[in-house]
Amino acid sequence: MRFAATEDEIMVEDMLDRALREARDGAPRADGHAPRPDPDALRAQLGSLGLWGAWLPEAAGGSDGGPRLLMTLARGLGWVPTHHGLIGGCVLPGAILSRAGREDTLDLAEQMAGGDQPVAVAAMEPGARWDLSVPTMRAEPDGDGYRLTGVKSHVAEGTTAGMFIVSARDRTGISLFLVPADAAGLTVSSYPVTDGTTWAMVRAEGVTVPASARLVGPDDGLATLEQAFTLAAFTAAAEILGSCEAALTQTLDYLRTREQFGKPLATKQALQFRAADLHTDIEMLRSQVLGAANALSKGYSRRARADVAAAMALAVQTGDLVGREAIHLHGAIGMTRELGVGYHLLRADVLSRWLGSAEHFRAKFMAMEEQAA
Amino acid sequence: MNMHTGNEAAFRAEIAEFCKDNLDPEVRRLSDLGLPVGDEAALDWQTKLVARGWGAPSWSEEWGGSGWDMRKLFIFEEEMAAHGAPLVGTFNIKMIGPILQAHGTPEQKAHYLPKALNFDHQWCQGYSEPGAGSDLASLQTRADRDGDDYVVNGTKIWTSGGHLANHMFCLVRTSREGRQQGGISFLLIDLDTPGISRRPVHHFYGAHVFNQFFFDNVRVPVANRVGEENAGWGIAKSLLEHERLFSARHTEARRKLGRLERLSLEVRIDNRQAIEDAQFRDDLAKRKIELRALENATMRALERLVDDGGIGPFASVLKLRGIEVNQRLDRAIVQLLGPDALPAQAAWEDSAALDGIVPGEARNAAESRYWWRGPAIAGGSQEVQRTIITKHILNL
Repeated sequence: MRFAATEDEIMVEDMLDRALREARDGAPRADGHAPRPDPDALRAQLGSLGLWGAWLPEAAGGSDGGPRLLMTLARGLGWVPTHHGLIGGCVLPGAILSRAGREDTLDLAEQMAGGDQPVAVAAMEPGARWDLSVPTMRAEPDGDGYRLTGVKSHVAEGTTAGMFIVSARDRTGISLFLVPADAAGLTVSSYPVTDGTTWAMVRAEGVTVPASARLVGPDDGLATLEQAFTLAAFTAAAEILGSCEAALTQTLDYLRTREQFGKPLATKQALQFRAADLHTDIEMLRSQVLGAANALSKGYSRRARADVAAAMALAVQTGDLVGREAIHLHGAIGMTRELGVGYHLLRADVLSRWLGSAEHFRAKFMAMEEQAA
Repeated sequence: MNMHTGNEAAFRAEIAEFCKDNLDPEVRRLSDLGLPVGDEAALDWQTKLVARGWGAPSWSEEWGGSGWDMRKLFIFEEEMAAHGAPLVGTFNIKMIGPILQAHGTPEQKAHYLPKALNFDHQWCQGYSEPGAGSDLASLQTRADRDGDDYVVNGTKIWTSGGHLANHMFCLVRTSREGRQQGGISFLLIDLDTPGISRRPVHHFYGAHVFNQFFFDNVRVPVANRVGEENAGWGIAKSLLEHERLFSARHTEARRKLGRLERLSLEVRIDNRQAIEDAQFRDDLAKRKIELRALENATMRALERLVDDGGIGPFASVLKLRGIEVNQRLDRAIVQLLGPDALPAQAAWEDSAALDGIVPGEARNAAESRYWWRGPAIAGGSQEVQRTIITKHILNL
């Protein structure tokens, strides 16, 4: 499988570029912020272009674009500071709905592919960090259905979703349930996150759902979550790649134009070498993200999961470094909300806090490598 | 020839089979440990390769090459390294051979290429001088025309393997006018010519790799000049793009990783296999992940080379990171060994004291780490690579 973009991918990149540039150029500069495009309008536009959920299989509302297309989309979004919600509102729920393969959720999937965010995934719990295998949320039989009790933390896109996919302990395993946001006994509380997005905590106090709400049973719930979060990590790595590219590009432009001591900063070797090292790190990240995309395209194998973990481990490390250096190489202006280059550090941080640290992904990588051997 | 997946697997298997049948286990062990295999073993291996038609795969078929495309050449190199083949005759096969084929006269090709292929000639490279390292174009060794000869005076240093060589390809100053680069010529020198002396220059840990050569009125026939007078700089820089892919040295890193992983099952930390130790495991994961990214980067470069015919400044990215990856792996091996990295290389040659007490993989671990400080300085230092990258990304 090749690394270079195919003709189709180049076409998608061009469409995406145009849409993202328009969104960025048209964004209002409000309240001393760098311009941030309106995420709802951006999603709707990308949805109408057929790009937003195109990575999903046709049976789940997409057009079989696969991991390469998802990478192209996420990388492009990394260039634009906006609350796009791709991972929480499309990748996680999309991967779960598509693996569950239920016909009665097809309209949800189609809405999602079109750019709406009807479903959010509530799988993390207080005190468990990134371990999805130990939910204390309980699902108990209740008549023909189930009764859910417990707390879910840090639900991305949880404030706007009309529906949650909730993981809960169900007898011997973990099942995934579809729970409407307005179900009796369900409380959704919003809070702001450090990159400016809004997330939610979800509390269920004896929420009753019918048997049909069980989307994935206890035999496959954990594996389904793992697949969804693997795809989320892959998407995050691609987004961080785009974010790093944007941060370095903006920084290089600044070094070329900003003069100090009578010369452009770009003539100072100490700064040149830092830029060269960042460029090298980003080339390595790009190579590994492409490698992971190609591996995933051949199937959701252990080898592919190892490649995704490797990509995200590098992404977390590189995103953090490039984010910090982009601020520093700008000097004081780099600290400002008005310039906004610091957004890339905020974003890399949020993706890593949410999906896993570099150490977490290195441990995953080792486990996958050993199992694949 | 276009390699399809099936063909590729068959080709890889063919190389593995060849190595299995022809590679002496002791030679393999030495080369896996990063040690030189010795003259006799190198010649023996090259003879077998030549017999198989693999002695100089990147050369044209006319001179004993394979006619393979770049992808196949790349796979060949990878598989040879993966199966523990020694790296032999780099200056012969990868440097002077391709240079003569591109720039040599028919007489030069006919005389030198067969002898480079079968190792009758052992070549070394005379580029650096005491006053001209990274700034190579400032070199001062002079060659003055006198009838049909050049008279060469000056000194060359950091000559790797010069003590084993009988021929040197050399950059000399033939003009002091205009740009420094425009006054350099490329000469082939027989090291038995009167007026040449050499001395060893030992590495800081004792190994004899480098040498210094002195030229005192050495007469070199004008017929030994490659290319036009004062055109030597371009010739020296015309190294095949294909070879630049290997500036990442990912195959050597892969061998080091194999060594580290074998040790991780053997060495114990807190009375458990090292691989069970959380800190070591995380370090190993770092090394594996950065190597995997480097390998993907090398494959991207290969693809670009096949598509576009060149990789430009990406070669500098590969060199910069590839050397760091190799150095970190060596450091990890030494750190894991701890006290078992104490015995010097000589201890393994002269005594049985270490047998069964120190893991065999410990041999040459520390020395390899020391040796690998060199590639960061040679062939365009890491700082030269950063400068090349900088020019590219900042459009300077």
